[in-house]
Amino acid sequence: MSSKISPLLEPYLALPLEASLILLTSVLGASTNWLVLRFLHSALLSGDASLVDGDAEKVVLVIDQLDLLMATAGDQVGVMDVTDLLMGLREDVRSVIITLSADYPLLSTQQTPLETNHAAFLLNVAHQADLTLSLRLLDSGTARDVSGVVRITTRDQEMHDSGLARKIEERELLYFVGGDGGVRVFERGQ
Amino acid sequence: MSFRKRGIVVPQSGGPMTGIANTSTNPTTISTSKAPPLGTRPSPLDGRLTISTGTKSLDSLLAGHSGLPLGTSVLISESGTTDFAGTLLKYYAAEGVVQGHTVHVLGVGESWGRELPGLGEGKDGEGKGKVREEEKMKIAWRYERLGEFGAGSRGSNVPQSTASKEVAFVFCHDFDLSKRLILPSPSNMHFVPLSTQSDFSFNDSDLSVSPFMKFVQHLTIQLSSASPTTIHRVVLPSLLSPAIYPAHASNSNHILQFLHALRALLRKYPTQLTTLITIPLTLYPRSAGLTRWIELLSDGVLELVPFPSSSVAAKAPSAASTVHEEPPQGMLRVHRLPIFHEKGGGGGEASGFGDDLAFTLSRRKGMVIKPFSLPPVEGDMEAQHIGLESEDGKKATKVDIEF
Repeated sequence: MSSKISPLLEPYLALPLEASLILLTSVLGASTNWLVLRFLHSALLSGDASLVDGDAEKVVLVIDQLDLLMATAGDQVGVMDVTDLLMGLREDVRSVIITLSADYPLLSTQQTPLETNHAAFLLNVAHQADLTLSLRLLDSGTARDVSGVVRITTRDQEMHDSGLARKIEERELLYFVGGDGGVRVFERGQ
Repeated sequence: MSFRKRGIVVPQSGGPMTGIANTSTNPTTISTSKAPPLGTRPSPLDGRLTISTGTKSLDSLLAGHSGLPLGTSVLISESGTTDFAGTLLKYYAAEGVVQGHTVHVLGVGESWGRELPGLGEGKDGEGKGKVREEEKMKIAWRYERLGEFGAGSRGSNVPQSTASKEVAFVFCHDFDLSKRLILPSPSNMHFVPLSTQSDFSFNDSDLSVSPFMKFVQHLTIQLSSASPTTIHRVVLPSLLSPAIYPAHASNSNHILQFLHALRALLRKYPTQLTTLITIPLTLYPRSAGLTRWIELLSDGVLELVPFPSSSVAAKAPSAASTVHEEPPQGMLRVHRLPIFHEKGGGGGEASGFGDDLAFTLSRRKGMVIKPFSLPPVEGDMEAQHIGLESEDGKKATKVDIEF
C-alpha cells in the first residue's frame, strides 16, 4: 500500500486531535474501511496516540458500526441506550471516530422499529458530530477510475465556542481505491 | 538440524542423500509448498485460497479472484417466483460434494440433496489438453496458467508430472442438470433443521428462541472438531421464506444475530468456511431496512432479475439459430463483491462493472453469466425478426417497419 496520503484528505485526518466526534458514514458498496485506516495511520504517526492503553488525553476511540449493536439487539437496545453509551464513552477519551451505515433503506423507509431507530440514531450523531465524512457511490452509476464520493461537512461553528480551531472547508471529493489498497482522492473534473 | 555437519548441502526431498541426512521430517528442508486443501486454488490477485462456486462464470465474476475466497459469504437475492438462485446454490453444493468438502444445509431436508446436478461429460478434452501442456516448455509454466483463469477454462495444478497417471485437478466441474448427483456414503452433507422444526409437539414455538440457534451450534462444533484442512460450505436456501422459516425468524434480532454469528465463524476460520445464501426479494424487498442489513452482513451481494416470460426474445429461425445462443433469461446485478468492496473498491475493471450482465440457465452448461447484449437490429431479414416479437405474437416484418 502506498504510504502517501492524498494531500486533499490530509487536513481532515489530523482532526481527531481537535474534534471530539467524527462521523463516517457508509453505504453498501462504499465502505469506510479505507478511511478509518487512514485516520489510524495519521493518528499513530503524529505520535499523539498509540494503540496501547493511554491516558484520556491521548486516546482516540474508533467505534465501527455501532448501529449493528442496535440492529441485532432488537428490543433490548434502543436509541437512547446507544446514545447514552456513546456519550459516556466520549467523556473518557479525547475524541471518537464512529462509523455508521447511511443506506437509503435504513433511513427513509421508517416503517419498522429497526428503520426508525436507525434513522433516529444516525441523525442524532450527525447533529453532534464536529466533522462528518459521508461515503457513497457515484450518482451516475459506476466508472472505471472512480470508486465513490466523499462528502465532507462540519457542524455549524458559530453556535458553539468549542469548535474547531479553523474553519474546515465543506466539500465533495471523489475517491478511487486501487487494487493494492492505495486510495486516490481528487476533485471532480480531474 | 543440530546433528548436521556443516558444508553438506541440505538435501532435497527425494534426492540421493535423503537416506543419510535425516529420516525424520525436517521442517527446514526445502520442499515444495504444502499442497493446498482439496478443491482450492490461490487467487491470481493476492494468493488467498479460493474455492469454486460450481458455476464457472460466477467464479470469474468475483473481482479477479477467479473463485470464492475462503472465509467469505455471498448473498444472492432474486425477485419474482423463479428460483434461479436456488440452482446456483445446488451447483455450489454439488461442487462441494464432488471436491470432498463438507456441506451444511439449513432448513431443508435430505430431499434437497438428492436434487443436485450430476457430473456432466466433458472429460474427453482433458486428456488431449494434458498432452499438449507437457509438450510446451516448462520455463514459462507460471505464465501459462494466467490464461487459465478465464471464464471457460480449467485450472490445473503445477504441470510437472508424467502423462501416465496424472489425476487432473479440476477446480470447477461440469454438471448436467438432467442427471442427479450420487452422494457418497458416508455423505459429507449435513442437513440441519431449524430449531423450531425438530419439536413435534403442538405447542407454539417459543418466539424468543432463535430458529437459527441449532445451526450455529452445529457449525461451531463441526468447525472446532474438524481438521484445519477440511473445507466447509454453508448453504442457506431461500432465507426467511415462509415455506421453510417461521414468521419469527424475520425478527431482526434473530436473523441479524444469526448472520453476525455466521460472520464471526467466517472470520474465525478464514481458510475453511464459505457461505452461499439466497433470499426471495418479493417478500423482503431491497427497499426494506432488514434486507439492507442482511446485505451489509454479507461479503458479496448479487441480485438476479429474471425477465418476465412474455418478453423473452423468440428463438431465431433455423439459419440464424446456429449463430445465436440461448436468449438470456434475466439480468444479474452486482452490488458487492467479497474482499474487493471491503477494501473500498468500486468501479475499475476487476469488478466487472460497466457491463450489464445477463444470465442463462441451460441443462448442460448450467448458469452462464455474461455481458448482456441486445441482438443486432441491422443485418439480414432473419436477424431482424429476433427480439421483435410483439405482444400479440406476430413477428414484425420488414413491411411493418418501413413507413
